Amino acid sequence: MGDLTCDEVLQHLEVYLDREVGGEDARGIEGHLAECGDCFKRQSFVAGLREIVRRKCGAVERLPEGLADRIRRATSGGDPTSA
Amino acid sequence: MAGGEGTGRVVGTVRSDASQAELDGRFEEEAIPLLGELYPAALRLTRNGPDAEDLLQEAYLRAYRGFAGFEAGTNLKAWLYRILTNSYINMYRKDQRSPQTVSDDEVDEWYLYSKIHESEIEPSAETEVLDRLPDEDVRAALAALPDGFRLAVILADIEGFSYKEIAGILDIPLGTVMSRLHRGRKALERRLWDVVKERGIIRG
Repeated sequence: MGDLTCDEVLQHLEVYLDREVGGEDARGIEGHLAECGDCFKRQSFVAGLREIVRRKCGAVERLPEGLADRIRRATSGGDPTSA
Repeated sequence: MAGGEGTGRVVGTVRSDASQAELDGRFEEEAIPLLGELYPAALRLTRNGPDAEDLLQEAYLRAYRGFAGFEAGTNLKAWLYRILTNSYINMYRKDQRSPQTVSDDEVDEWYLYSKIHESEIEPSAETEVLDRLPDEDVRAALAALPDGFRLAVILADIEGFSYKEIAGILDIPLGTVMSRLHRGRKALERRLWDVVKERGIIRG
């Protein structure tokens, strides 16, 4: 399992970073990344970029005042046709 | 039996009072508290406050009507996201099953990495360059992606859903999730590079 080429690792990098590569395959990729500086740099770049996108686009705006009550009234206990 | 409906149209199937009361209680206890998490998601989909409020209200109304069909013990948040996303697609008539495309030349595998690499930035500062972009620029770049790709990127990279969950939410096959995500991310990288140049963070 250990002998993955750079091409193979980079090809699966995105799916690996999505944590969608299972057990032994993931260990193979990890092993390669630990030894290959170029692949490791690329992996760090992609992971860093993802983190930046998540942080910059993932702002958690607060629920506007009154919206929860309006929705509550429109659903449980309320008359759904009055919404 | 069916006489106790009161005024108004009957919504969904007629249930006994006990199970309806029980469902109402569960909806209040389990679904209503998730509003705080679903609102930012609605805002990301519609990109503006008033539409996000309408969307969230519509989605919750649908969720309420369909709550009897929600299987207790499964992922309620994912179920609500699915309704939210489908309500968005319906309300704004965005047919995400046949999205506008991302052209092939936007899907250059290591485009952004190579561009930044070539620009004599210190290796340790390569992502720092991107971090210097104003939040609004990154949001605008994401917002400008064609809808089918945008939804996949939002669900994976911001909301943190798995491929399988995204496939369920968007009602598309797993392979389609993966290709939309890949193409969407690559198109986003290309747009981010354009912004980096526009902002003069790196001379391109």
